[in-house]
Amino acid sequence: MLIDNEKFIALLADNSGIEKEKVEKYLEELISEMKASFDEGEGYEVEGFGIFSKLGSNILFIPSDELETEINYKYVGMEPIELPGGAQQQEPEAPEDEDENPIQGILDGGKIEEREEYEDPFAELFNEAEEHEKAEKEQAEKGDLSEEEIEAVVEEEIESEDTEEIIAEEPEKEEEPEEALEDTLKDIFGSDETEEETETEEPEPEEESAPGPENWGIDAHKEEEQEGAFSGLLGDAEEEPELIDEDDIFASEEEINSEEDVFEAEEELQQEENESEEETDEELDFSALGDDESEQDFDDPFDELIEEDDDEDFVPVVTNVSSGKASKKEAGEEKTEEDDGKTEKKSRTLKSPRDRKQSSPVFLYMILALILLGGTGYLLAYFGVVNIEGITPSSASTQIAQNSPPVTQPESTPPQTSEEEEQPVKEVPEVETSSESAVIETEENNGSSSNPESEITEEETPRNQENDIAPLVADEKAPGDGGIISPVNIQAEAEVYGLNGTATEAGNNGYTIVLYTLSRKSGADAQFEKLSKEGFRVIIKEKPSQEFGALYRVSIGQFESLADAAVAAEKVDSEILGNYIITKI
Amino acid sequence: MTNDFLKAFGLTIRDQIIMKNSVEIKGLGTFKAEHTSQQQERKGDGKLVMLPPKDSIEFKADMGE
Repeated sequence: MLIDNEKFIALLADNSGIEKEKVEKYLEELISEMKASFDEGEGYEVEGFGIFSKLGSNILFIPSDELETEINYKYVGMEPIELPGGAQQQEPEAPEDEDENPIQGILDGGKIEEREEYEDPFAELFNEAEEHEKAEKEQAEKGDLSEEEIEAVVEEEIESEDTEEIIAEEPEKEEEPEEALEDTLKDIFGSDETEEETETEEPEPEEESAPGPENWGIDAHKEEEQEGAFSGLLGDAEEEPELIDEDDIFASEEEINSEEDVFEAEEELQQEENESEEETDEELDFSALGDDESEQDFDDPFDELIEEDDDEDFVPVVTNVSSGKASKKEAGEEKTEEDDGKTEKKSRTLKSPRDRKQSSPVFLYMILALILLGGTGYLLAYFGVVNIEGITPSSASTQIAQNSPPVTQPESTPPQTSEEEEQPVKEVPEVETSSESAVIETEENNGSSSNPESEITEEETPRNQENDIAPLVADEKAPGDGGIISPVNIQAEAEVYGLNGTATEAGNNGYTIVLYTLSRKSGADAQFEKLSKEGFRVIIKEKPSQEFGALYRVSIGQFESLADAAVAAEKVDSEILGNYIITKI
Repeated sequence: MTNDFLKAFGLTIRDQIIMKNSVEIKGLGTFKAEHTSQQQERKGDGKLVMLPPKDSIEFKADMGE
């Protein structure tokens, strides 16, 4: 229906609620505005509608995205779909799904996915069969169709949309009696064997003639008649029966199953089903089985040789089929090889998840073993069977004991060193106190010590002495005593870490609250004295600085951890504290 | 000319196009609904793609005439 200018104006007036005359006026305005902008070489955009632009003498209208979507609201969400049959050499598969699934889906229950997987070979083979027959007919009629011509025919068929239906329907007509029965049987038994069966159904036209009428059911005879029409063409196909043996068939069935043990359980079931089918419905089902197995069977010898090539042969299905001049048997073999390739492929791909399943426990065991080892190691260390630093509870204290230099009172009481050396091992708490004092003491008597263990710490301590306050404390406390510290002092310095008291050597591995960093030693010393009077444990550390030469860092307290230092800092008077930082000593 | 008018202008044409009507505006041109049914298209890489159906708006100017 055409909405002319008048109607449009009426509609516009209705929609906008503006009077008709005004609408007309506005419309004229709009058009003249457009013209004006066109004259300027510009486009004219009506918001939410689109852009008008002049191209040559023509006016183009580019609808806005909104308008496009609104017009297309019926088809919202419809995206271009890549058709499965689109790949160059593959035949359309869609019709198969459509035809098979409604029935199969219901009867097979949850096996739909598998069905779909198996449709691929099925579809291809359907086409192959059909193409073969067509090619044969054409050959029969014309006799000398070239390969290219056949290919062209085949491709035409594939490309035309109608082929989908033809493909789906025609083979069914031809193979109806047997296929229908097989299908129903399959469906009834919910067979998963579709992979094999579907593959094998198709080659039937060529291969059914193979086992001979005596091996086939009544239905097969019907097909025989049909096949008879092609017997002239199929000539050499009759050689095939030699390769097919009933015994082999059944023997191979197990082989196959053992090879393709991916679906072990399922296939065992199928096997049983098949066997029961053979017994009861031999005439009906045997053909399928026979084909099935015979294919596998007479291909077995080639399998190993061709296996690798199969994957490559597998792809160009159409060319294989359409090169119909090749003898029927060769074609059949190729097909079955292809089929085998497919089954092999599938079994390979399907095996992989199983392999993964198998391999995963190994990793699990390894991880478990590692965890167990770690756990036992930790436990051993924890209970002191093995001494691991940081885990064994006593190791920390014993470490201190080991590191602490033996307390030697150089000139006056040499035997005391031996006593104090033994002490740490026996009584840990005392060791700490003694070792602390020892630290200070050894600063003075390093020269006289003969113990090799103590030499290490003795070498370090003198250096610290120069920089740190701890030595200073020692110096101050025992200036005239030649480094001998009284028992009272030992008691007072009992704690390695702390805010108050005097700095200890052992505490120097912890954290401290830095109050000042001063450039003059005298200033630092003044602070040291001041803070010491307040009762703090003061440390002055000389820090080399590129800018200022040396800086003297004044800090208070020795703490085992950053947290301890932070907690202690909160308790300190903020006037003393000022802007402080906590750092490692 | 107001915004309301422009809005109504767009909406009116849109509605008519959705109803498959063509709209003729004197001095400007004719808007027409065009339906493209779904179709298969073979792409350069050999992939067969089914394009969804589509309605589009076609404009034919009568301005210059």
